Amino acid sequence: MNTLGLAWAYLKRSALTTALNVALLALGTGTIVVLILVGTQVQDRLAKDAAGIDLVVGAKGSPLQLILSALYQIDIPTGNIPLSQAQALASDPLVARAVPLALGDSFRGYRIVGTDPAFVALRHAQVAMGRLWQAPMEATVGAQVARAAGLKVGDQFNGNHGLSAGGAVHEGTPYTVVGILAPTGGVVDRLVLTPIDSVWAVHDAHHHHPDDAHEAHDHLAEGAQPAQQAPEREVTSVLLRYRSPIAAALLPRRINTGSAMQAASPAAEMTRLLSLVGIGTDTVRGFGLLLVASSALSIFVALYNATQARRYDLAVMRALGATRTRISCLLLTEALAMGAAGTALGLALGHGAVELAGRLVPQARDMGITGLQFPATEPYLLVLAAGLSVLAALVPAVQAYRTDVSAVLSRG
Amino acid sequence: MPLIDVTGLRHAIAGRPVLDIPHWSVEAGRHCLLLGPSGSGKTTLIHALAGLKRPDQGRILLDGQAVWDLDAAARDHARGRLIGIVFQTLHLVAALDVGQNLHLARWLAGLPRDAGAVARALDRVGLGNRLAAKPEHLSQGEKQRVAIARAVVTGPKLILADEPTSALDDENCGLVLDLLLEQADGCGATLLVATHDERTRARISDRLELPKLSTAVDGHAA
Repeated sequence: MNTLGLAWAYLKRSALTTALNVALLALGTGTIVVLILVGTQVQDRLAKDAAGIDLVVGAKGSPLQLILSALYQIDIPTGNIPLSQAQALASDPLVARAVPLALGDSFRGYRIVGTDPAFVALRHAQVAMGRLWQAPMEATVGAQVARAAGLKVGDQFNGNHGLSAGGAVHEGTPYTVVGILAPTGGVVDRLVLTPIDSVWAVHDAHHHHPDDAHEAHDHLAEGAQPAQQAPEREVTSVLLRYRSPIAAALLPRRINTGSAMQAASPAAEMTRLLSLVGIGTDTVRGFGLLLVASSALSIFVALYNATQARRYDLAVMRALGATRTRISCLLLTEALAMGAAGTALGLALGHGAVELAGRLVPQARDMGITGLQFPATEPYLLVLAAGLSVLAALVPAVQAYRTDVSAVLSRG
Repeated sequence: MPLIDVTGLRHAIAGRPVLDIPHWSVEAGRHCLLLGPSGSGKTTLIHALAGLKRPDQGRILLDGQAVWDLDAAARDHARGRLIGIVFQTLHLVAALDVGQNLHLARWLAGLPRDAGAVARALDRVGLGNRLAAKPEHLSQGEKQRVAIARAVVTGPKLILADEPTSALDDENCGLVLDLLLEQADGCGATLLVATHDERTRARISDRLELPKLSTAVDGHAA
């Protein structure tokens, strides 16, 4: 017999109430854990994909859309910009490195990106098998593309028109896989990389099909301007790295006011996006905290009722020699045990749910979401639960401490 | 040195005197009855002896130690170590089984865990086979015996029994008194039985008769 054993006996005796309290707390902490895990991983992922890129330049439109389409490859592009202007940017003294991107086609839902090999260095990717692309119609594919499509070096495939799966197949202009990139956990894993010339070649060839229904469209980018008759070569966007910090002050303004292009800063746009999304996650976090608070309230009510119902038990224990401190400790122990069990269960549920989602939900898998990460904020949840449990037990414990044992026993 | 030594003990509830004992002492081994009608302060005296209710005036020495000079925690420890209490309503802890109720008493008295002592105490009251039973599955007689076993399992010097027989028929009254005396002798404790039950008078010769000092006092609380 000890305080823990005694607390356990009482918790077991009111098993249903105990289970309810533990479940409430577990749901609350579980919700918060899921938010923390997914939130930090998505944020890490976004930051990682933006690392090393100071500015994205593309056609005028929504700056957020430009960042999402060019950097994260999740939205459609704002349009195209002339190649000549992109090249002019690349030779600007303020620019350390400029990597053009040409979008427009996809393979099984994975985007085909026409770009320089410099892109691979910019994104810190490495070749796992084969080599980087050199000639037109050669492709080096991201790790996830290769795995999903079962591509090996030497395989050939046709692109689909448009950025989502199901577009018309570009027959007759197959790509050849010359290399596969090592997994990065970033956006590169989901891309098919090829020279810009390939993208132009596919669409030049494509324009020669007289009966193609899509002929009237510009194929370089979905939703872009109508095709031009004597087409100047175009790209969709350019990723820039500054040569010096002063470029941040000069370059975006110059591009936005002095050209037909727009420049968007990944850092600024992501801050804006996260503050928008933040309203939603704040709501869910508030909901989680509400659950935790209600479980604390429920623990309080349970203990309060228990001290009323157990007044005689507690008085008898005092008569058997228990000090007031020991009785108060018993109630605190019961609350802490429920708190600890609920938090532990909530942590397990949260991590389990995120890990399961990371394995079963394709989007979460693409993001590399895992439940086996333990953020530094998690210990605070334990402190929070312990604090709330003690708070919930405080009034009953003080009541038990002050009980006039003689009066209770006399009435019994 | 007497086991109990009371001097100048006075207590009033809501301004009405319920206890006035100029001097009273009990030698170790001399079982004693505490007699008096309802409202004569029997329970108040028992609680004062046990360190549960501080009297208005007077000194209580228990085994040579002034009970009310101790600080609260020391008084609780002394009670656990020196005294076994049998309540009229028994008060077994329902969340615990019979064995655990006895272990609880030893633990709260600050004694080491001793499964042998618990088993022997239950054997002596004839309940050696009910170790794992929950109190709600016991008959009233069995509960009574568990309550007595719980009072002696700590090896107390003094067993306080507050109206242990008033709810029982003649036959059971005799059995419980026999059991209390036998168990008290078995562990070398002195038995003090507070009762208004006339049937107990024949069994124990030493007694303290408490007069009823005032009329309008709640009998149970006094």
